[in-house]
Amino acid sequence: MSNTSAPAPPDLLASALGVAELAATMDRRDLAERIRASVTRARRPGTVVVVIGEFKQGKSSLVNGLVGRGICPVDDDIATSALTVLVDAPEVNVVVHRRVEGELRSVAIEPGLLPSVVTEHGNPGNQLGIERVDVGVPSRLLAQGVAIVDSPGAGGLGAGHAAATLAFLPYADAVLFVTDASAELSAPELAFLAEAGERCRRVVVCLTKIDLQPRWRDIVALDRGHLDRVGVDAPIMPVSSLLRAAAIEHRDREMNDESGYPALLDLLRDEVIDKAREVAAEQAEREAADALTQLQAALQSELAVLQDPVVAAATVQAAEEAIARFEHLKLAGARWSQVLNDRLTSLNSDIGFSFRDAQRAWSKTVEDRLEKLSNAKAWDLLCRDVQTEVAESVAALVARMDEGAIAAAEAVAEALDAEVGVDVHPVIGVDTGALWQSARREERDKVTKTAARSVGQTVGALRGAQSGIMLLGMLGTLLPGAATTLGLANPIGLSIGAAFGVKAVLDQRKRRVSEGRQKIRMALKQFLDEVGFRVGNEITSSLRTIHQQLRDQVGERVTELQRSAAEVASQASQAAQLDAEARAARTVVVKGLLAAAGEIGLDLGDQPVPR
Amino acid sequence: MSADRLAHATEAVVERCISLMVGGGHDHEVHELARLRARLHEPLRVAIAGRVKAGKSTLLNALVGERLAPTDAGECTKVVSWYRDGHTYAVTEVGRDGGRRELPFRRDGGTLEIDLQSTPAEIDHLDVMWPSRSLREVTLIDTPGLASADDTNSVRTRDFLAVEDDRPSDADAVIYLMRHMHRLDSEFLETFFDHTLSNASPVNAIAVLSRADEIGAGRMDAVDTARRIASRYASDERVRSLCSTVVAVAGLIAETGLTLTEAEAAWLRQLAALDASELGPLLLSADRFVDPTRTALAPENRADLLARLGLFGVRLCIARIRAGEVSTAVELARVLVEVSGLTELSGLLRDHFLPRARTLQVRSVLSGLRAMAARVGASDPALAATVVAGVEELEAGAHELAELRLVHLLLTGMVSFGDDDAAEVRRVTGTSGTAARLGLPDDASPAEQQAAALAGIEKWRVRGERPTLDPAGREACAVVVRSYEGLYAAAFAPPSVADAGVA
Repeated sequence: MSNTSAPAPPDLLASALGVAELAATMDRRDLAERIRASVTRARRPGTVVVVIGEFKQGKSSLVNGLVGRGICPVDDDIATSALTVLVDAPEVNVVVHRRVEGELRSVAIEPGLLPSVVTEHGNPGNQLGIERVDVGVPSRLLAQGVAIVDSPGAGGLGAGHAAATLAFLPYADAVLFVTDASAELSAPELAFLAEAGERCRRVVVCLTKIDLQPRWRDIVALDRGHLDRVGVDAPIMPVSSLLRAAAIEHRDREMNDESGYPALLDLLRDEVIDKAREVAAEQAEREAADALTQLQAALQSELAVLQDPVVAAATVQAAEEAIARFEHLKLAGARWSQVLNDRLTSLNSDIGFSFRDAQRAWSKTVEDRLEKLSNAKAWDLLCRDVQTEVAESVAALVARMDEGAIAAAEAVAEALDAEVGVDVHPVIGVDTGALWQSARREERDKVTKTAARSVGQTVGALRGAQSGIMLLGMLGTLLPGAATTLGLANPIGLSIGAAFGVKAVLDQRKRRVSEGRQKIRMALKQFLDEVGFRVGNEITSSLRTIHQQLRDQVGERVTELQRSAAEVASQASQAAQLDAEARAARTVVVKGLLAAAGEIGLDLGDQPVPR
Repeated sequence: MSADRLAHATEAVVERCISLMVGGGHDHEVHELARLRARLHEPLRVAIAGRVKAGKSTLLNALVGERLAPTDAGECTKVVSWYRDGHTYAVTEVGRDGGRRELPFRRDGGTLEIDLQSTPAEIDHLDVMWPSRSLREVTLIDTPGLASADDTNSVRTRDFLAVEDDRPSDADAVIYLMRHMHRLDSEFLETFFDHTLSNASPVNAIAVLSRADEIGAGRMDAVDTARRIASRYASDERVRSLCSTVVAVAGLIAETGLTLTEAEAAWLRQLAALDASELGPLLLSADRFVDPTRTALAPENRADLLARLGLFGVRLCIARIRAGEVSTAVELARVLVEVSGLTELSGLLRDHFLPRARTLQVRSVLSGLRAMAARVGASDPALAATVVAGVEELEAGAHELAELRLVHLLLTGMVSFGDDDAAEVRRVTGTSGTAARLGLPDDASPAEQQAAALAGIEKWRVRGERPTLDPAGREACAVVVRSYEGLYAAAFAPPSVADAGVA
């Protein structure tokens, strides 16, 4: 692994920046800004790294080791209880999102108070109802656009937590699975890893606490064997958070290497961040190529007028027609706007129907199974199954919503393309369809199974991951709560009394079982109602956001294209009025610009050049 | 009926069953009955169970005081192994078909090295006979870990502990080893007990928070932290309904403490004499400690020490030597055993399991008989009825079993009294001396004891007559009254008779 930090395809990004510069020269700040924004994104693509593992395996220490400072509270006994998302920030800041009477409230708190909200000790059983804590922290890793999601340890791989976490994985770029070197992977851990391997592109097993275990190399070999057996292609990275912390404190490079963290960070950079950079760089390239085409078209038509002022009138007229057409597109009556409304309305009812259907299925599962419930084991299974079912169907809904949003964006692009009309293309030199479809479908599928996140431009960057984090936070707050209520109602004592059973006790046991069943029914009903309410609200507000974002983005592009057409018109009429000398001078300038554009175009690769 | 007399009566019932079945085409049952009968004359069987790599074999070695069971970084115990006292050293493989085969064995670095003649799947258990004082009163049973990545190993343990079926378990009591778990984790209780463990009950189970030395990242206060966590678990209602208590034990430290050699102590002294600037970096991580490029002490000796003590043990020994508190192997061993928590666990075994050993064995045998009755019931209902009748007669007459049941009901929350009353019930039905069971000082006069017993009888009789009480509660009160009556009688008699004369 190399130690040089290489931003993916630099030549490509340089060309894109060249286009931005050209646009600025030509007084097209709008285009220049859009390209610069996409280049910035390509330099720090949003990558989501999830840290998962059973209780007490050293998750928080690992997160601290990754960001290079002791930000997450570490305790021998009390675990992290809230979902924590770490992102880059110039200085440490903490924002707590908590649910108060169904409303999500966000409050910034003193970083020193972090332990009181994210630990079991400060916030037992998450009584504060904290859904998520965002921590901003200066860090070299995070500065590369990485967001670290530290899943709460309370649930570990148990029950619904595993389901919620697995449902989130398609949105993650990488999973860091934390297991300590005191023992080889257990059956539940392996089962989880096998599932995770199916759902996430990159799974890395972090073997922690190697400073304490003399035989950690044996454990690596054993784990390797287990992973190969279940077909999980995950590297095992041995790390010591203790050595890492000591190395940072004493600025000891040798000890830092010993801690295993540099190798882990290299792996993350090479296999996760760089991959995301490549995808984002391709996106930037496409945008730059589109902008370049617009710029070239404007220059071409200006050159045509300069060489033959007679064509000026025709050019101006064509451009003005285009402007008028774009003006129409801004109105509510435009077809694309109706397509958007129709698509979103039908998506809304489709999601609403699926959601009600899922709710019915949950209730049915509960009713059917409750009657057959006879012992603690069956009860635990029911609990787990309900939680899993809820997590999976909510995840499926979110994925479906994202897919629906992509389909709507494509339909809008198609309608827009038809409306703009082919004859506009030569004037402003653009294939409108390509503008809306920011990623080609096959690439999208290559990038992620859910296809959600790569809509990027259209539906808002990281939207997928955001819905995922929302989902994880929400189920996270619901599930432990449910587990506690349900845990108390757990008729566990009933099943092991059999060996002592005399008739009076057995009769009473029957009564207790039916009482217990009643309690369970109530608890589960409450759980499902709460989920129904929260998910319902979340769906409604997500759909509203999607609708608004699509409308805004189309509006921006239409304005941009209109501006291009207006540029063509004004350059053409100006050129026509120039005297011969000025025309000759301007011709040289325009030819120079065209040559520069051509060169950048060669670097950018094949893009449509008009005529 | 005393526990011994109860055992005799149980044996009589088993013998009656044998005479009924012998020659009647019930060879398999007769064989099993003979095993049940033999069980009443053996030491208490205590199984050591828990998740894979919880440190079961290490703890077993610590309890025996010798390095017998092999341990390894990876999963190691593949078959259920019995360690029992005997007149000679022998290892026998007992097949699933009941066949016994003696195996050759070596002791490799202390632990036993045994060449199995069959595959683990064909073996029911290994029978290790080992003359040892520690095994005189208990037979220890090592089991493969639950939640093993190699599923077949877990299946073997679940089979043995009869986790899922109604078959009685071969163990009379269980020490359940757990790693540090979260109490909200729904797997928590399952990891704890696989809670359908048919014979498990707070009366015959102790939980051990194992590998205590690793909990606090091997810092000097690691074991104290572990103790604090263990007592927090023990105060959890749900945990209390599964086992009587939770103790923290650092098995490796205990095992090594009991077997530390003078040579090892000398190496430790040599390290302790190093300059702090050299010692600090050496003790920072396991890899550094065995680093061949460091010069203090031969690397292989350092590796030996690490394997025997773990990083925490090494740090502990060196700190104590440098503080000038200890120096010889004997002194170091004392510190290690003391810190390990082993003494506490042994004390629990002695005070909690052993006084009830006979009753627990009878309970195992009776549930064995019930299971057998259920099995033969299909083909021979009359025979089954006779067996069940024998069992019920015994159960009805034995106050020890009633007490055991009461404690079970109380601890599992099936019967609930206020905290003070619950404590009183536990004390009265407990296993200490008469005065202590009455809540009096040891030197209380017989008259004081009688007065206390009478007061108890009165209190619980009145309580048992409350109309709001459910049947289980009424039965519970009757049992307490009965226990007080026994104590009243015992207060007259000299102690030796009291033990045998209750009821």
